[in-house]
Amino acid sequence: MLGYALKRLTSLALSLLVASLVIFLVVEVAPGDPASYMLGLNAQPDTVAALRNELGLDLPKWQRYLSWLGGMLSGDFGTSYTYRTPVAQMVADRITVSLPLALYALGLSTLIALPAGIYAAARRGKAGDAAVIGATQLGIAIPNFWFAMLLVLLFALKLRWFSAGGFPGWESPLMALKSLTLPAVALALPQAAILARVMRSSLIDILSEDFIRTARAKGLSRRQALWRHGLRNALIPVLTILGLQFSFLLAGAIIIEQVFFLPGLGRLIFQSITQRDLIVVESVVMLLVFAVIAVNFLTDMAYALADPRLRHPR
Amino acid sequence: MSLSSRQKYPGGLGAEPPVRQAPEALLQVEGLALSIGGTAILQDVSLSLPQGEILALTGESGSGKSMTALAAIGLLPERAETSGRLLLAGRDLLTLPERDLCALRGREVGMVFQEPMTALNPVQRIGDQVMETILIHKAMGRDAARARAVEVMARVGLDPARIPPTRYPHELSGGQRQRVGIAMAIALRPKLLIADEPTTALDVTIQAQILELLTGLVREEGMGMLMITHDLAVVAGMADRIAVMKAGRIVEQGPTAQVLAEQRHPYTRQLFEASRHQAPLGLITPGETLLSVQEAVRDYPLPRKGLFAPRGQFRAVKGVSFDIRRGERVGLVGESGCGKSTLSRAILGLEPLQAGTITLGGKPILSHGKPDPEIRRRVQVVFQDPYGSFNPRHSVARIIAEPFHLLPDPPRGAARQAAIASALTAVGLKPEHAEAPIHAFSGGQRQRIAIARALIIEPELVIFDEAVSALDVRVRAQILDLVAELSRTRGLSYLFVSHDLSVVRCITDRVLVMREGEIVERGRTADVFDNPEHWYTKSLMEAAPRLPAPDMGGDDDAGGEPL
Amino acid sequence: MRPSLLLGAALTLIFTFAALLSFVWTPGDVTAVDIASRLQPPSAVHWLGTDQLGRDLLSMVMTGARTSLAVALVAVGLGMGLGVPLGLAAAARQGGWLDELVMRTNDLIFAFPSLVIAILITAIFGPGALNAILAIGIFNIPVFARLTRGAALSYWRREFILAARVAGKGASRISVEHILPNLANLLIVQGTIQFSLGILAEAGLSYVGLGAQPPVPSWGRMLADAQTMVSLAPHVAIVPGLAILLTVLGLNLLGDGLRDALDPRLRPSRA
Repeated sequence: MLGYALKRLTSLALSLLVASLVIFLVVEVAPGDPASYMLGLNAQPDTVAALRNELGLDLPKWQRYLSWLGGMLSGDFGTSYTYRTPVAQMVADRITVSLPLALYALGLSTLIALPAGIYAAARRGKAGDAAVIGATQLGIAIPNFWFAMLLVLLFALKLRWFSAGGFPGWESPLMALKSLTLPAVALALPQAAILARVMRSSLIDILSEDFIRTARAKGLSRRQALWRHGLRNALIPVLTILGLQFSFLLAGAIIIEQVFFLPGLGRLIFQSITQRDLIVVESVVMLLVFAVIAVNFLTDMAYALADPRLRHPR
Repeated sequence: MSLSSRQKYPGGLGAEPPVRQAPEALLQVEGLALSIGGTAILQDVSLSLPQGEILALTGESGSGKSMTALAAIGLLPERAETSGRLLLAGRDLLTLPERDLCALRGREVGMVFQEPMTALNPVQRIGDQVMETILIHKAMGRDAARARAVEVMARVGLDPARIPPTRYPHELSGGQRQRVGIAMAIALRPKLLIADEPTTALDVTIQAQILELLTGLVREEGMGMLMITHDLAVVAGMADRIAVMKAGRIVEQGPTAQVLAEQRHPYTRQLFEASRHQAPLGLITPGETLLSVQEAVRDYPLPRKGLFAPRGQFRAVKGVSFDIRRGERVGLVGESGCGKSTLSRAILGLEPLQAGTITLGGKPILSHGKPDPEIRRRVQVVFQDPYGSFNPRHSVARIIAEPFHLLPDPPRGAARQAAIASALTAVGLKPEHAEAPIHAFSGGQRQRIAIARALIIEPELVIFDEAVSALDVRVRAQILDLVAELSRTRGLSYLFVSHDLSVVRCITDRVLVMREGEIVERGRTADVFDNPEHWYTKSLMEAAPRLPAPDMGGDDDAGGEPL
Repeated sequence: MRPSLLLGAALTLIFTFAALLSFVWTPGDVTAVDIASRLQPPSAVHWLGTDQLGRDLLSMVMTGARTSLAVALVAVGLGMGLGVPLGLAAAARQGGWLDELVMRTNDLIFAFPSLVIAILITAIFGPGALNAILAIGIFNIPVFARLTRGAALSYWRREFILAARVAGKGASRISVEHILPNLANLLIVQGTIQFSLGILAEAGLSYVGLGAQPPVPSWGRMLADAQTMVSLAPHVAIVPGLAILLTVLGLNLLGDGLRDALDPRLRPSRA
C-alpha cells in the first residue's frame, strides 16, 4: 500500500511540474504586454520599461518560470498586475466561496445519486428503474447554468425562499450556506444524473457476476447479496467517476458563480482575463489543475482501499 | 480416453448391481419441465438421488444439465416457467416461497460452481466468505462460526498455516479457490451437494485432487451429490448412478456400471464412442528435418515491484530443443502455464526469443526480429476458440483467404475463388459457404473453417493450439478425424498443443511433455503413455480420469452436424 | 425500433433541419432590432415570442442551432480525427514509447477541464467560436484516444488478430483492416455522446462570453442576455434553454438507442 502510494505520489508531482510548464508557456505566448496594457495607450516607452523591470518581465523566460514555480511552492503566487496585491491573498478570499460550493455540490450529488442508482439497479426493468432512467436522461441533458436560472425564477423570484444571488460572507455560516444552496443544487443535479447512471449500470454488471450467484447459493437473499457483495464491488468504478466529477464541479462552479453573482474563483478569473492580469490567470488555472490532479490521487488511494487486488498485487 | 484395459472400473461394483429401492430419496425430480420465454429448456426430467450417493448428470453443452442443477437449488432465472415436482427431502422446491428457499440454500443444499476464478467475491477475505454461510443462517455465534470456518477450510485441504483465512481470492491458485468454494458449500453440512462442472476449469492433477476431495466428503459426511459434468471419464470414476441428457431430456439413466455396460440409448453410445475415439492416423515415414527448435528461451518482463526496483523477468520457456521431421505428427502436452502456448507462438514468429533459434527448413523464422514471409508461409495455425478466431465482420471467403497476404503473387478472381472452394471442400464444407457470414456457423464448423484458413497456402507445418478443447466430444471426434485424414492424404506435419492427454494420444505419433518451461519427457506417443519415465508424466497419467474399456464393439457413427 | 431511439433520431433531425433551414429562411430577421415589440410572449406572429431587442426568438433559436451544431460537430471531428489514430497506434505497441507518451499526455489534458482550456486559449487569442472549438476539441482527443486504445487492446488479445499476424499482416494494416471496423459502433455511440457534451460545453462557454461573439447568434449568449429579463419575461430564458435541453436529450437518446441496436452482445450470435 505504501509503495503504491509513493508511486502515485511521484507521478502526481511529475504531472504538476509538466502542467505548470504548459500553463507558463501558454500564458507566455499570449499577445499583449501586461505593462503597456496597465499603463494605457499613451504611456512613454521608458515608463513601460521601468514597470516591466519592476514586475520582473524583463528577466529571461526560464528564470521567470523558476521564480514563479519557486514562489508557488512557498505559497507566494506573485503580485497582481492590476491590483498590486498578492495573488495568494486574492485567491484565498475567493476560494472560501468556490471550494465550499464544489464540495457542497459533490455531497448533494452523491447523496442523491447513489441511492437512486442502487434503487434502479435493484428494480431493474421495473417501473422504478424506468423512472430513474428517465430522470437521469433529463438531468444529463439540462445545462446547469440554465437550470440555475430556472431555480432562481422559481425559488427566488416567485416563492422568495432564497435570494437570487450574492454572498453574505462566512460571518453567519447559516446564511452563507443558504446562499450557496441554489447554486449547489444547480451544480449537483446534472452531475447526480451521471453518477446515478454509473452506479446503476455498475451494480447491474456486478449483480450478474458469478460470485453473486455463489452468495445466493449460500442462502443470501437477492437484497442481501446486493448489499453485502454487490455494492462494494460496484463502488470501484463509481469512485473513478466521483474523482472526475470534482473537476467538472470546479469548472461548473466557475460558470454557476456568474448566474448567482458569487465572488468566487470564476469571477476572479474572468475579471483577470479582461484586464490582462495574466499572473492571476496563471495562478488560478494552476490551482484548478492542482485540485484536479490531487483529487485523482485521492481517488487512486480510495481505489486501493476498496480493492485488495491493488493493495497486495501477487 | 481409450487408454488401456489395465484400468479396472473403480468402485468395485459388479456388472449387475442390485437395483436400489429408493423411497427415502433425498432428491426426487418428477416430470420437471422448464421453459424460458416460450422456449422449452427441460422436458419431462425425472431423477432420483438417494442419501449418500453420487448421481452424475452428463451430456453435451446446451443439453440442460446446468439448468437442472440450478433448479435443484432453487436458483432458476426469474423468467423461468416450470411444471412437475422437484422434491428435496419431501419439500417441493418449485412451489416453495423465496424466503424458505433462502433458508434452505447453503443449509440443506450447497453448490460448487465451475469457474473458481470468478466464483469468489474479489474484495472479501476467504475466511469471511466461508463464515458467511454459517452466519447468514444464524447457525452459531460469531466466534463459533469463525472456528467452524477454519475447521472446514482445513477439511477441504486449505492448511491455515499456509493459506490463512485472511487471504483474498486473488492470492490463491485456481485449485485453492475451488477448495474455498467447496468449503462455503459444505460449511453447514448440507444434505445435498451440487457440483456444476467443478473441475472443468482446472488442470488434470488438480482435477484429480478436487474429485477425490468431493467423493471423500460425500462418503464421510453422508451427503448426496448431484454432479454435473460433460466428461464421461470423470463420471465413470466416481458416480453411483448416471443420467445422460440430450436436448433437455434424460435419455438414459441407471447405475453407473449398468449404463456403461449396456448403453441402451444410441446417444449414450455415441458419447462413449466419441470419448474414446482413436483417429485413424495411418503409418508415415518421416522425411528430413522440417522444424528445428534449439535452446529456445523466452522471457517476459514482470511489472516493477517498487518505483525504482529493477524489473524482474519471468522465464516462460527455458532452453527447449526439439525437431519435427516432414510428415511427423507431434504432440505437446502440459498443464496451464507450462509455456506450451508461448513456445507455439514463438514457432509462429509471433514472439521473439531471448536466446536459441527456431528454424524451418534450415532458415530462421525471425531474422533481426522481423518474420520472413518466405519462411512464414510454410507454417500456419489453428487456435482454440471457435468464436474468437475470426473477425466477426468478415465473410468466410475473406477469412479463409487472409493468408494469401503472405504470397508474393496471390491468386485473384477465379483462381482465388477456386482456391477458397477447394480449401472448403478439403475440410468437409461446401464451396457455397464462402459468402456466408461467420456467425452462421456452429463451433465445429468454425474449427473446420479455421483449418481451411490454415491450409489454403499449403503450409508444410500446422500448429494446432488447443484446437479441439472447446468442442463437445462428438464434434471433437469429427475434427480429429479430419486432421488425421489431412495428414494421411497431404503428408501434413503438425504440432498438436493440448492440455488434454486423451486427445494428444489419439492424434500424434510422438509426444513432448512440458512442465515449467522445460520438456521433461519425449518419445513415441504410445511408449510415453504406456510407460512414462518421468515422475511428472507419471503423475499426469495417474491423475487423468479414464473410461473403462469398452465391453462391446460398435461402428463409428458419431452423427453429422446439421448445417 | 425502440421508441426512445425514434424520439432521439427525430429530435436530432428536427434541430439539424432547423439549423440548415436557417441558412436560407427564418421567420424573422435576427439582426432587425424592433424595440417596440420587445419581450413579447409567444403569439401567432412570433411563435416563440421576442427578446429584449424585439428579435424573433424562433429565428434566433434556428440560427443558434447552426452555431451549436457546427461547433460541437467540428470539435468532435477534431477529437475523433486525432484521438482515434493515436489510440490505435498506442494499442498496436502496448507499453512502447508512443503508448506511454499518448497515455501521459492524455492524463495531462484530463487535468485541464475543457473550461480551463477555454480560459487559457481565450487568454491568448481572445474569445470566439474558433476558440470554443479548439477547447472542446482538445478535450475530446484524450476521450477518444483512451476509448480507442482500451477497446483496441482487448481486440489485440483476440485470436483472430493472432491469425492475421500469422498471415503476415503488420500492426498498422491490422489496425485499419481488423480493429477499426470492429470499433465503429463504439465510436459512433461515443461520438453522439461527445457531440451532446460539446453542445452543452459550447453553450456554457458562450454564456460566460468565451464562445461565439456577436453578431454570431448562439444559445448560450441568448441565455446570458436573458438573465436580467427573467423576472419580466421568463420565456426569453426558457426558450433557448429548452432548445439546448431537447437537442442534447435527442442526441443522448440516439446514442443510447444506437448502442442497444448495434451492440453485438445484445444480438443473437447465430443467424
